[in-house]
Amino acid sequence: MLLNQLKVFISSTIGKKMVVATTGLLFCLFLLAHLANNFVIYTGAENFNFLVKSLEKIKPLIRLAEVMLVLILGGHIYNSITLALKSKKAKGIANQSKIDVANASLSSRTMVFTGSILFIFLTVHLSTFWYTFQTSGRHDYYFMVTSESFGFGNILITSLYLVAMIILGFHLRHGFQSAIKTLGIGNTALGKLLSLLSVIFWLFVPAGFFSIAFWFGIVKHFGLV
Amino acid sequence: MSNKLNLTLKVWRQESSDSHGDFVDYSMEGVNPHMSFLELLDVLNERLITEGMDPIAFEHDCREGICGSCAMSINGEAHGPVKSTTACQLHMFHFNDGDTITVEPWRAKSFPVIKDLAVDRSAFDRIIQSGGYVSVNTGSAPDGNAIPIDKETATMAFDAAACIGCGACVSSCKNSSASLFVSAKISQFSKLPQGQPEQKQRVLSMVAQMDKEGFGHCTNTGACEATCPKDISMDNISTMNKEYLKAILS
Repeated sequence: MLLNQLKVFISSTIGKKMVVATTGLLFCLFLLAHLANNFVIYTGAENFNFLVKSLEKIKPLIRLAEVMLVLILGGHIYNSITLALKSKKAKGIANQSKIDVANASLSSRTMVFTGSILFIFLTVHLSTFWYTFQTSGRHDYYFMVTSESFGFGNILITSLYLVAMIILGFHLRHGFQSAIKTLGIGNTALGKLLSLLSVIFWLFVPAGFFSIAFWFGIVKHFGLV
Repeated sequence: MSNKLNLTLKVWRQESSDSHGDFVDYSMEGVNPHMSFLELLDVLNERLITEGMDPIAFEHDCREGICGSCAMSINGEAHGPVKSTTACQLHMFHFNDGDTITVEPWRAKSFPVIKDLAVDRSAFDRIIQSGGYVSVNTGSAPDGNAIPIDKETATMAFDAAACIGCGACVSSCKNSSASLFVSAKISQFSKLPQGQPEQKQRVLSMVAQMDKEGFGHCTNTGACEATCPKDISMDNISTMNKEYLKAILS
């Protein structure tokens, strides 16, 4: 019975949208944890390498988290694309004269576009910092971050990171508060509190990641200080 | 105010749902600024008929802004540029002399054009038929105060019930989502005790029918709320989603 209900849920537009919302919010929590780890880099190579070694010790847990992240992101992307294709079909012929976008922010109308750019960024990000880290055998992450071949020693990579973080902020500017509304808690006290906290996710988190790429890839790399 | 207007109307003309449509220009001279937009179309149609041409098909009924029959995008905006106003209540003094005004039908696959500006909105009827009613036996009219409902809840339910089902939300939405309409029709009952007995089945059936009709999903962009002539709030969509989740899990 419940299984049938879940089938109905996951094939409905509201159900799909709720999956997109939940996975998006879960990924935001991951970003927060990711950034907290990243910030250790500002305290120097020694501390950062110590953190990397500590994480090594809980490898199975990290692997489990990675699998969950893949599932979360997979659910997010698959359902987003399915819904976007359905809505494209639903429109048919668009308004021929000026399209009224009153109230609809630019970030809300470009979610598929910004999401796609973020996917490209993620591919590059994982192929460098994740894949190379796993295969290089050298777990000196601080070195990797500043390396010229795949770290912030490479201006192309730095630029991609800087642009991607602005786009991430843009994506979450709409995404976070939209997810709260989608989950049906938009007009509750919790929903209002989360809406207030959304600035952490769309502004502070991307700005935190941005600052690391900017500090190592621009300021340090070009010897500005 | 009383200065007559000279306007150019660009009106979407389409013979039938499967024929190709296009804009046709009509110049209108000496338009009375106190006319409503539909009266402007009446004047133009009288002229077209006199000239032996095919009049423009458009829907209308009460012309008091409460029936939801009139449905057209004026300069790309559902019901035109004035907020909280249906096309029939839109007066020509909101336009300037020399303006070119574009008029086109609602744009959504689920609202196929019947002819010119008239679209088939029976998808909305089928959504209502799927569960947008209260069928429990309510007996004879009870005393008005027999069921206590707080003022705030009553107001929210009444605000949701103000939806006239015109379809402006669908046309304005980039996804052609019917969420604002369906959520208003669900909220008006879900907030009141009389709606509770059939609540679960109502939400499940109406959402299923909405999807079956091919409407898109809600991305919370807010274009529907901005163009709704009855100011239906997007909070209703949150209510619908919450009720849907509750119905699935129960």
